[in-house]
Amino acid sequence: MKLRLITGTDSLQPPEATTGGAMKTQKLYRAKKISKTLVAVLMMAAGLHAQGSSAQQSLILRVMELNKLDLIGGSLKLTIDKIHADQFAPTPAVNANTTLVWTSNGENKKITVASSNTNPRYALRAAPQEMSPGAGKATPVVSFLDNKNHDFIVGVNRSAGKCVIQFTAAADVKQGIGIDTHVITYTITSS
Amino acid sequence: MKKSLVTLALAGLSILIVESASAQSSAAQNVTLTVNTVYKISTSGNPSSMTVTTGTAGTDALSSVSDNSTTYSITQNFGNTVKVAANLDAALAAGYTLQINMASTKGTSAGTMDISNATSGSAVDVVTGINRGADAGQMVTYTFSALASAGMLSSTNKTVTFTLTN
Repeated sequence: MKLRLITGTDSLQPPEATTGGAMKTQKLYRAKKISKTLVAVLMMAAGLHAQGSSAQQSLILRVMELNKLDLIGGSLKLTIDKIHADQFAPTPAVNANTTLVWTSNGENKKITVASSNTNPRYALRAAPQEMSPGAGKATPVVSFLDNKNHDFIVGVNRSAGKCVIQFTAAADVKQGIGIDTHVITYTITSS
Repeated sequence: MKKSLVTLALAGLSILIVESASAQSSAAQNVTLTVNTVYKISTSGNPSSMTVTTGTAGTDALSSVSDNSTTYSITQNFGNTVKVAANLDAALAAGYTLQINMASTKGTSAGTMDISNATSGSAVDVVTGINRGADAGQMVTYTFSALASAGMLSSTNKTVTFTLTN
């Protein structure tokens, strides 16, 4: 006795084309084979042309309004100690060792300056010089007669800049000798 | 008694025949195994918001901010030339810069790359030469910087797309 197992493999074997019915079966077999081949090719093509996968991240970006001001040079001392024989007033003392630097990403800003001295005895002036181009418009000179704020640089718009500050102290003979102290404060603010 | 013996003998013979038939029988199956190309990339989430809040007086470039709180993971079986490209949904305005650095152990990180102007048509390769396999939990570092001359930037949402491709 011989047992025969009918398996899927058997169904793939081409039948003998000896009769009319077998011819039809063979055509069906070929059609199945072609369609399977087509599916296989399509699957391969799909694999070869895979464009990969993607992932996303969401970012929140922000820039705050920012105004920064700094002084390079530190404290300074102006001493009036010279006078020419043919002049009534002593020679003014000049110091240009201070540099003011600033950065602002805001618009319509200005830099003001003020002294802490409400009633100075001697004249003190400050003048911005060597301004960075496009960083604002310098006021020619500021005199510290009291402790009020004065515009020093105006038209600061989204810029970083710097200028040298030239201080000039002056006195006349009638004012005698003495000491004035000023704490100079610079502020960047809205115009 | 004789009848029983004959029946027993026939039964024994049948078993022998079946055993013989079983010893000669075989069966076969075609098993088709297919592994399709697999590309998978994912991220651990979204980074924290990045806000520029300070700078140095006299310097146009403000202090940049960074975030490295997220990671990405990939799995691919395509080959050893796979890469990760990154792009934004829309370019940043002039004066703002977004950089990205993606670590990699299966490939080569391109280092810190500027993606400020990388859009879908101009994605920037951030990791290249990725070998088959998986690379999980690799750090993504963003750096956002701005110029003072660019002005302020109100809270802006940008979408970064990573594409794993060959």
